[in-house]
Amino acid sequence: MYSLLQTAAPAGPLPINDLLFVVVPYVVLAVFFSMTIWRYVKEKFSYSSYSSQFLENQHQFWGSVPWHYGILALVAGHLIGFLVPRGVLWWNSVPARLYIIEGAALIFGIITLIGLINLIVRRASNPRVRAVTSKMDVVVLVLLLLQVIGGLWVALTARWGSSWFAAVLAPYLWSLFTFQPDASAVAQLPWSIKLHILGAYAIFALFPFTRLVHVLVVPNHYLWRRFQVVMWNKRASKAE
Amino acid sequence: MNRMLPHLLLLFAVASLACVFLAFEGREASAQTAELPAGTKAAGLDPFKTSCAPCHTIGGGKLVGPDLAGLKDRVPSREWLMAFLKNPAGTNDDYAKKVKAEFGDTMPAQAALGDNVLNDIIDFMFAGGPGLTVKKLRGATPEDIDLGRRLFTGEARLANGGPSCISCHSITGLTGLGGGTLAATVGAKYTDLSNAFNRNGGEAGLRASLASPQFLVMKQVFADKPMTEEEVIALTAYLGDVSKTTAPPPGRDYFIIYGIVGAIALLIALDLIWIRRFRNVRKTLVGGSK
Repeated sequence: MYSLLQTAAPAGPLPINDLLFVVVPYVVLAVFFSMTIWRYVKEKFSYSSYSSQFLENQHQFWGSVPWHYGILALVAGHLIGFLVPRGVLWWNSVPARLYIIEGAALIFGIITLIGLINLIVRRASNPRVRAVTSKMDVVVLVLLLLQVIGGLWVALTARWGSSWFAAVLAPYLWSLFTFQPDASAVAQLPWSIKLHILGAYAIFALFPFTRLVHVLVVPNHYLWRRFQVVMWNKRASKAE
Repeated sequence: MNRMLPHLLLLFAVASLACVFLAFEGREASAQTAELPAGTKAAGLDPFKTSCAPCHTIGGGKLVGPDLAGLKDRVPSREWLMAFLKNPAGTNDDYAKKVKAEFGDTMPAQAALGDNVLNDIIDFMFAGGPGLTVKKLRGATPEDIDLGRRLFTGEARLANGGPSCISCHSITGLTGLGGGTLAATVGAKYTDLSNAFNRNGGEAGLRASLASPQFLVMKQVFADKPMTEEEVIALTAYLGDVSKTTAPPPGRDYFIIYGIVGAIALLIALDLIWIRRFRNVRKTLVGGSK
């Protein structure tokens, strides 16, 4: 064990590791909760992803549907690994079951990437959709793209993630939530995985300031209803 | 700007500081419990057991690293040993070169233990390891090989909750999609354990390594979920058995291909599920007017 308060710094990249994987997540959590609540209190009606479906619906299906079902499956998978790591290790105790869960995760990862690329191409190429795109939308899309590519890279190069997530990262995440942070195992992981963790922190930190807040709007009935046509009713600008 | 923002920012700042403070508070407390005086034992005994014994004995023969009996008379000086323990890879004088020529440059740096603990360990080694007993494990049986194989793939769970080997490693003879590759990302040679038996100094060395793994990620993962003696015996027996077989050339990696085929199938399924979807406003209107 080592301590950040230790006077003689140990050799190697340990202090920076503490900064990135102990201090950063707490700051991110504080930003996430305080700013998400603040936005809900102050700008309740901004909790939306601003549908652009009325402007273009030819390509939207191949973006939105694979993206959303893919990312929901992936987030659920990460969440299960965090909440019931022992259950995951039990499931993976039969190699065939391990291959099924890893194969399914890879399939969802690929359709997530396909969906996201379609959404980015649509947003960039369609002038009407582009007109309603904010700078934050661009930031979110770039960040999500890097995160999904990074996740696929980890899934392909550092197998089998479902097992080692439960053994290495679940204890790390629990150590954060129980205020006994221990990032020593994360310190030994390759940079591809560290970047994926940091990417997740970046997304959580930006969450309250972006269209991502739509995730929190309950009842989330648009998970199972069909697309509906939404007409924009923008307030006229002062110049008009 | 609204009036609430400054209050919220203050709240956020206080919350962040409180979290960081709580975090290190907890860590300090746990560090203190670990450093309680250990009765009449030599101060270096426990740290030697956890940090050195996986690869070294004192008078018990070579494991992964040299037998440390008579160390005091062998090493150039106490200061040299301290420097070497802190940074073995960076120590390259004649004596270090001689040791590395025989055992390889695999000794992990121990600087993180701190000067006090390292001094305790050096005292302990120079005194010939008082109180250090190495438990002799029973010999392996053919049943151990099978148990070891099942422990590797996860069919038999490790009693203390550690992940099975297949999570991060592969080995000759696995069917299906093969073993994990996480170990490759920390060091290419660590992924495939087909030759781990020989690499870790045979039965005694591998048993010691598994009983208290010193490998980067494994060290952290198994620190509080150690393998039991029986598991160590079984896995060593299995890895020893595999090391005798010649490895077939690695087969084609189908994982990504399955992924792409599955993704295409899923996209087709999504299209079929939404076959009656509202496609394009103008197209539908034009179609309907015909």
